[in-house]
Amino acid sequence: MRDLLGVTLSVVLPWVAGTLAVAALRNRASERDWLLCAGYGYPIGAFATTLVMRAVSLLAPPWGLSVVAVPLALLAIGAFLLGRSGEAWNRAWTRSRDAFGAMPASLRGVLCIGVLLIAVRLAGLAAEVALRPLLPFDSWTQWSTKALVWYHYGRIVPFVSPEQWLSTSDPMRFVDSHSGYPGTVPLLQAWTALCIGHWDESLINAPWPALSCALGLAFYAQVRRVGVSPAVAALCTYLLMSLPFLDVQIALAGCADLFMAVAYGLAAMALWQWTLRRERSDAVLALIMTVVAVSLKIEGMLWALTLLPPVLVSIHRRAGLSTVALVAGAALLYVFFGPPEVEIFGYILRTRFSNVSQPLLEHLFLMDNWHLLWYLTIVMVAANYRILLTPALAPMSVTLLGGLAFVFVVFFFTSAAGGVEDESLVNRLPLHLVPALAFYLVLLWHVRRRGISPDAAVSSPPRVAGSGDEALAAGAGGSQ
Amino acid sequence: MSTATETVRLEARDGWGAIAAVLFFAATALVIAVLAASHSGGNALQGPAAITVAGDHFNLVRGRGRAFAGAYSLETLDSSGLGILSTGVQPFAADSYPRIEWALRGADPAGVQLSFLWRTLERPKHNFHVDLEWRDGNLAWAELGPQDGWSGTITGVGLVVRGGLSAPLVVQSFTAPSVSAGSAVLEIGRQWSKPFPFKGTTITLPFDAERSDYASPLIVVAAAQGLAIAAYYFLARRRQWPRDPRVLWAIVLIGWLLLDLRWQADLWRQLAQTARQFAGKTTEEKHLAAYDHELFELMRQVNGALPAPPVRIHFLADNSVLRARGAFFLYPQNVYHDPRVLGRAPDPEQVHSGDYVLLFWFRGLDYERLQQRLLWADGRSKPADEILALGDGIVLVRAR
Repeated sequence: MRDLLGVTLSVVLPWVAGTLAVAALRNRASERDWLLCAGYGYPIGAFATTLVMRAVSLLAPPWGLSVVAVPLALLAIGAFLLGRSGEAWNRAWTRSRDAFGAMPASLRGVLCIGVLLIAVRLAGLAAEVALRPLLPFDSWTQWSTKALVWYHYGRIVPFVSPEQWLSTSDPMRFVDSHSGYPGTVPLLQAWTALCIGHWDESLINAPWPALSCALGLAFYAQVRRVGVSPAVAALCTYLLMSLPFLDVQIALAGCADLFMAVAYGLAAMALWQWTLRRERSDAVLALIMTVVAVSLKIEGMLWALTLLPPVLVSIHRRAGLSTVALVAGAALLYVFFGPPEVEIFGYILRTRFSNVSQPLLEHLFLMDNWHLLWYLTIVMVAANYRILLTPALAPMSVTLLGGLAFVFVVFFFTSAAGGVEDESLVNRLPLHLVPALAFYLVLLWHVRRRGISPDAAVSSPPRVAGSGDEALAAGAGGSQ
Repeated sequence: MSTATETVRLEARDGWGAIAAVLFFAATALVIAVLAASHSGGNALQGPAAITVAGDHFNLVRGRGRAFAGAYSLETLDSSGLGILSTGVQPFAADSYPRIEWALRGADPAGVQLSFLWRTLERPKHNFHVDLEWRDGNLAWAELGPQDGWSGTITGVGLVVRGGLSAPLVVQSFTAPSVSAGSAVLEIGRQWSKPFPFKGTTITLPFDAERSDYASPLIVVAAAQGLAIAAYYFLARRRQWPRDPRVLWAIVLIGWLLLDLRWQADLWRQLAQTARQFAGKTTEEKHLAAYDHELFELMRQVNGALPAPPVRIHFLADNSVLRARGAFFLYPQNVYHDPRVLGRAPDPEQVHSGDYVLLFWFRGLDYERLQQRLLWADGRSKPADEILALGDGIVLVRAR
């Protein structure tokens, strides 16, 4: 019982605090979307929890449940007070209920089936997490090692490199397989242990199923904002949540890749909404999720860089696209004339091409890791190539182009090629891109189906609230 | 006439879901039929009778072993790590038997590499061979074709065993099963319904076992969708139906759902297995119920011999996975293990006074009990007190 209460507290408190913070942020939105707030709320609340833990560790260790929980509760109360002037949740609920009632019975059925399929999947995965001790190699060599030590000592104690460890005799300088990896994910495990009051190797992974629920909510809400109907949005969310490799990352919790995928995906979606609507809250959400991504893994910084070109493109499309072309040209020049090896963020960039296409093709197109996602991507992009760089779609296209280029360079031109050949990395890096990619595919489908011109005037952007259709249409009306 | 055409168009519009389903499932059946035909050995519904050779009919060529109760037990390999069994068979046409199977038990599949040997009437002095794949730990099999040299008339078969035998390998039988399109369809069904149990590699390779399938469900569904969409365009053109994108999306969705149904069933099967193994247990009990419980038990004894954390421990083992996993069981002690695959011993000056050193089947450093010292291969040494010894090869010492 104590465990159940502790796990519930460890998830609910950051989630409520984060949700209310996002709601306060979206105070001025004409319709406050509570699903969006809840979807972004958990990762933001969880990140806030780790910030509180870092602060307590620095200023007043050791951690205690109340020492960490009280600032979070204060954040929740503050956010609630700040967000009171916006649309109340009960009005939003009434609005949603009325909209559901007005839907044709067939679409209501599709919506319910979609939600049911997602619920069944996530419930099963959560049960797997609750039962299973840590299984993935990385989880017990570089992530939960830190969590266990930090939980035990009630503060962040340093993890040093093997060389430093061997040269010192200080028993409070620890080491693991990757001492330099960021501490956000281990801090979340330590927080869960703090809430349940002991180290439980299964329950410390509660953030994984919680995050997967948040991903589903945020994805659904962002797809709805594009203008997609609730039934189709639920179906699209199910398709995303059904991806086997994503599910495996949830079920075998303990690694940071799911967090990276969610953070980057949520950042990319919010960023695209900002390019279309110019709502400040979208920009802030994109920025926060980018910071979260950077705090999760070392390559988070590289993923964050792929979010810069879409900003440029949305501000001035021609200049932005020219910059993208210049970067691509510079990369080509590097391949032909650059030094053979350069180290960037832990990767050794090489001019030599490593052909790892065979394992990549096997894992993306032959094995069932991603169901039909990559086939669908090729067909959708090929079928819509004419509209990919139109003003409204260009920022998201450039985001995806940057992400795919990042994966391509890492796989074919860096020391990580070995990880693709031995198949340890071949699915994990693409996973980071997948939620953003899924959103992009929905976007392409929607723009094509509705026949709305995506030629939004980005140099004089529309300031449009409401549905994505309205925003897209307004953008079309103001095209250059 | 125009009314009739209009009616057909309306029917096509109303029945978009049915059209998609019919086209998709017909295309899937076609793809499976082609796949089965390509593994049928040219036999439609019934192949020639299976050929089975009992284990005790085999002769030992290399290694040591004995025949018993219808089987052959290969007990040890020869000095070069090789064991070979062979026998002559009633001649049969290779073309009619595209698959062979060995029923085995006893040995750890991870520890041995198996190859299948055969001779033909046409080239009696040449030994052909292919590597075998394990299935479920008790069956080794191969799909063979002319590209492997599997052609003509087979006159003799054999089994080559390489590696290390942790236990005798018992060969129960060799079988060239009766293969036909019908049996190939059953085999496809078996391959697609096999479980993908969660293990250490699942986090990166959840569908590794699909490699041995005739074709993965994904590629079959994708091919069927391509065919179904092509058929729809063809039909729409012939019958002057308006092209309805809902049909295309329905084809995509049905295929996706079909793939996901299998995945969901596998997740449930896994969850039931996980619950049987771990439900209601504490973390410690879960480790005792896990695949590496023996290592956990050893580490529990090591932990019991250590003072309260934090103490510094050098965890030294030849095996990198054992090193990393064993080290994890010692946290929150301050445990170091060399992250490189070939773990090296630290230099004597890197082992500080008060540091613990756990030698865990490690050849790079010795502990001399009589002299009470750690001894490096180059003759350097460091005084240390023995804290714990667990059988041969596991010693915990504390540097003075």
